Amino acid sequence: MKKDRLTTLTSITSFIISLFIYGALQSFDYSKTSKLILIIAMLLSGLSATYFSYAQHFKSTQKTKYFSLLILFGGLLISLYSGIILYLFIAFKNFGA
Amino acid sequence: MKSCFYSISFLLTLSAFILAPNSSSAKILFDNTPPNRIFQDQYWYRQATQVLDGTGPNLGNTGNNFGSRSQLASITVYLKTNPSTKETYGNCLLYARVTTSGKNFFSTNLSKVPFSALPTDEYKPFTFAFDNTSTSTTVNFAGGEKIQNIFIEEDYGSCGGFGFGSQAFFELGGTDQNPSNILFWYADPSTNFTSSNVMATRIEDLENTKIPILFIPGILGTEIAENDELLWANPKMTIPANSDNFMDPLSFTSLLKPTSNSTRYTNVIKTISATIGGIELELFDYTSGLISEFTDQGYTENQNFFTFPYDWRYGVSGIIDQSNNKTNVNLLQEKITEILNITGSNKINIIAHSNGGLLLKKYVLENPSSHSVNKAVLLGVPNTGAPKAIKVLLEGDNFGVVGLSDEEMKKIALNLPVVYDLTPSQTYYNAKGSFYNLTQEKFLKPPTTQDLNFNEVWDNLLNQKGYNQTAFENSALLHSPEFDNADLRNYGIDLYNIVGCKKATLGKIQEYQYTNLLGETSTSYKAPIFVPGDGTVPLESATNLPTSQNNKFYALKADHGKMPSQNGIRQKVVNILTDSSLETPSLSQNESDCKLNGRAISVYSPVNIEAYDQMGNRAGFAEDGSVENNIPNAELSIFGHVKFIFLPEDENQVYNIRLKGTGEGTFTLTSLNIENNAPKTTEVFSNIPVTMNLKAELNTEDSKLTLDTDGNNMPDQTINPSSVLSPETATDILPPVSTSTIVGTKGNENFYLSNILVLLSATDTISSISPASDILKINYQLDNSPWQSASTSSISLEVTQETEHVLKFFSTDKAGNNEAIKQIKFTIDKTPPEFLIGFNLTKKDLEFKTQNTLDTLQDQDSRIVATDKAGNKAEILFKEKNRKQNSRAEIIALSYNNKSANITKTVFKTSWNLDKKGVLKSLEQHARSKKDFNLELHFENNKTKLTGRDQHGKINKILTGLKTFELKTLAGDFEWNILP
Repeated sequence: MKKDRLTTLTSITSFIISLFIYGALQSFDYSKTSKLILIIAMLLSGLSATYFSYAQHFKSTQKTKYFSLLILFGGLLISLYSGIILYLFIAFKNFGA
Repeated sequence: MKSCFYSISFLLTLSAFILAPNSSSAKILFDNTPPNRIFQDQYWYRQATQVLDGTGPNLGNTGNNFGSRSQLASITVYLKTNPSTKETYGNCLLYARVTTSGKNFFSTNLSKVPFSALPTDEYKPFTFAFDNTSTSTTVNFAGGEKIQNIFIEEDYGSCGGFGFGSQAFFELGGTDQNPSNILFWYADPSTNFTSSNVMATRIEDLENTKIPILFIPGILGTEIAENDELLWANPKMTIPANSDNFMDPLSFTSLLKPTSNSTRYTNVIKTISATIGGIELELFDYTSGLISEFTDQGYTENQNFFTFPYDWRYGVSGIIDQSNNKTNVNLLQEKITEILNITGSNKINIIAHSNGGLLLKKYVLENPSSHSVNKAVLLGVPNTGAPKAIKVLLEGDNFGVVGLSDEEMKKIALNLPVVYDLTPSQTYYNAKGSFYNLTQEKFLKPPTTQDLNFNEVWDNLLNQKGYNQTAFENSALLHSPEFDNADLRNYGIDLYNIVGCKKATLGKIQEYQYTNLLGETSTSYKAPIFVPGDGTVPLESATNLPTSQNNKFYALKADHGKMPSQNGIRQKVVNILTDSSLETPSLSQNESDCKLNGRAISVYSPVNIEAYDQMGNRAGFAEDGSVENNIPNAELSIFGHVKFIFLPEDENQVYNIRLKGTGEGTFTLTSLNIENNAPKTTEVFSNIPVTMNLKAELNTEDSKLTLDTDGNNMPDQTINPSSVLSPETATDILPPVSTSTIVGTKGNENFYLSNILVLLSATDTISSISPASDILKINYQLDNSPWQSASTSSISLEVTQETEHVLKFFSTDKAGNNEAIKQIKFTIDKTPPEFLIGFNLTKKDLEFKTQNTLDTLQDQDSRIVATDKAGNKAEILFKEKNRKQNSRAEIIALSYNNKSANITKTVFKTSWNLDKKGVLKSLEQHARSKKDFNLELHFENNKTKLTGRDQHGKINKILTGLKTFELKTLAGDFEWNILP
């Protein structure tokens, strides 16, 4: 498989995985620990989608350029989203009056 | 009349039962084993002891569908009574009554049981039979009919016509080993009953017989909102670089009233959670875990488990409504009354956390005979206060929440009664000693230090710092010795105390004040003293509660704010209140397990600090001062510019401490080793230079500090501690004092007319509470050169350069105390002034100047003295005693600072004549230097003749008009010029 194609496939797969995790979190009631693990996984897959789509974007043909850009912003959005949730968790971890 | 029994019945109400398939009997078992609400082997397992004292509820019309059953033969119930009832009412008989669809069926006379037959120690089965002798004793079921109630009742007639009301009781139940049961025997055992007939509602009804539980939260434990906006605890507070001033309405005025009339409290915090994009994440669990644990035991919120939300800002002493002096204590009383009414119970069990415990104590003391409290479990209650409350007043606190502004919390705390209620009381001081040390240093005066007593602390806080006098007075009134030392057991309360003890907890604040030359005072703080506790409440305060040793528990991994739901603690609370036996990890009843063992590390800015244990867990500060702490029982805090970490070493943990420069300057690190609460050695790394690039690592095993000064992750230098202190000298808190002496020729003011030696000497200050650790080094900086230090208590510096100098210096003792920087200014000026000598045509006389207009000149006719600002002198002596009168002058001596210059080869003579009108008629001058020139000047008839030679050769000129020499002295020689 060509390297470019592998990069594209990785970015799309990562993005789909992150969306899948997001959907799962919306649909099911997980324990706090499971939620955290899933959110970390979502962050990683979001970052992965961002990274690989960024790498791909500049090599893309005109036809696929917009698609890779879409994945890039989607990945960024989901990374930001899961990052905020993780930050909030960390922010309250040591709360104690 | 059997019907009269209804009115005096002691009711056992059972409105459902299990019908076992292929069996002629059904059993309801009573069992202690938790969880007590399971269906197992076709039996419902229930709470063991059900006191039937006539006050229990009638459970109403629920029941089982008996299908096509035709007849009940008997029921067997396991019963027991108490000795006094047995003795008093021994002849009274008990019988069973079963109701179906409005019909009542009574067990036979022969099967009645006297109280005297009931055991008092363990349950025994008693069978009540139903026969076919009458319609009232034959329990016939029509198809689809239900048993509604089963009563075990007293036979009114057997007691001589009177009942014994609630005094008499029997118990129905059993134990784990020998579960009691009620057996239902049917006349038609082949009937096919199924377990699907079980009525679960009966169980919930019986729950109401549990003693209700009320949870009283502590400070910050109840949500407070303004209109629709949640002020506390809003996750918005975590937004970085946010002033958090949306919480301003939480503050009070100096009159101890809310600044916003729109604030209101809502619910006790269960969890702090955030929902983002549809996903809810629980961020912090305050009571949710505890409530779940009770729910598992069959409790239901707002039926028999309640929480008491209140406006914690008022604390215990704050007046909520001035018109009727209503306080949170009154609200607690109302809440308890309400709960008793709802549940029909006459007593209540209490769980109180932190400030909630103070509320409970006050409530009991105000209602000594009507408090209705049965059991009370106190969690981390600051009975005599906590020094951390003063820290919140002085510096604020982010309570461990990343992003929460210390400054905002400080602002809010200023006038909150609750903060003052939680400050250490006089009782705390009496038991524990001073919780506040004040070191003062004034410009050019030796520093002093003292441990303040209770009144002195408040004099400092109220009169010098302007905190709220009324709030303090209210708090002092609250914390009377009677309150602080109250023994709640004397009020009939079964009291339990759970305290946290293995966390380093603020025990003593150490303030440092410096007053400069202008009388301006600045305040900073030294590393505080830490004691065992739960991170907020010192053990000393939490255990100042008379409790039997069996009822006192030490939580070895407690974190004050999380105690209600913390693992181990919540199970213990449940065990105490429900007779359960859940596992309670990390709880001890041995106070010696509480001793602190570990390392207390303090760093003085500008560095950030973080620690990693051997498992890779991190504890450290973020740039904004917030804390991340993943090391169990570690404690981190910031006090002023001191960052502090306590790292436990109970289990031989080894830590890697990492430092990162955050600015320019120096930092000092102290590492105190604590064993069994007692300080051992203290390693001090003093005044290490720091830049933004600095990275450093301290390994607690070898106590060496490795510096990576350029931040390239390669070690550049490894240093040993500057000093290692014994426990005695480690308490040195006073900075040393340095003095300076200048040796040299003193001129005017700060001027020196020679090279000088500056002698610096330092002495470590000593006081009754601050021993001398001795001088480590003297640090000094001359002008703008880099700081230098000398590891000695005295040093002399030679200064030769002629200019104005500034010498800054301070000394450091071995405990790492730095004195405030002192500075002296002095100017070395070794150069005397030189003269400019000319002839003034107007005055018809010689005229004397110096190059510096600030110099002073004295013309004493035959003696001219020039003095510069420093005090350097130059002096010319003329041959003529009366220069002006004789119209001639010849220099015969020239001296500098009273040292004569050699002028044997030099000449300067001037003579002049005036005509009768006083007009200059002629003038002659002769000037000769040591080697450059020898010139004569003659003026007459408006012409000036200049003859002689200079360094360029011979000169022979006739010039028009008057020309005169301007002679400049130069270290005993002359330079010449001609004027004009």
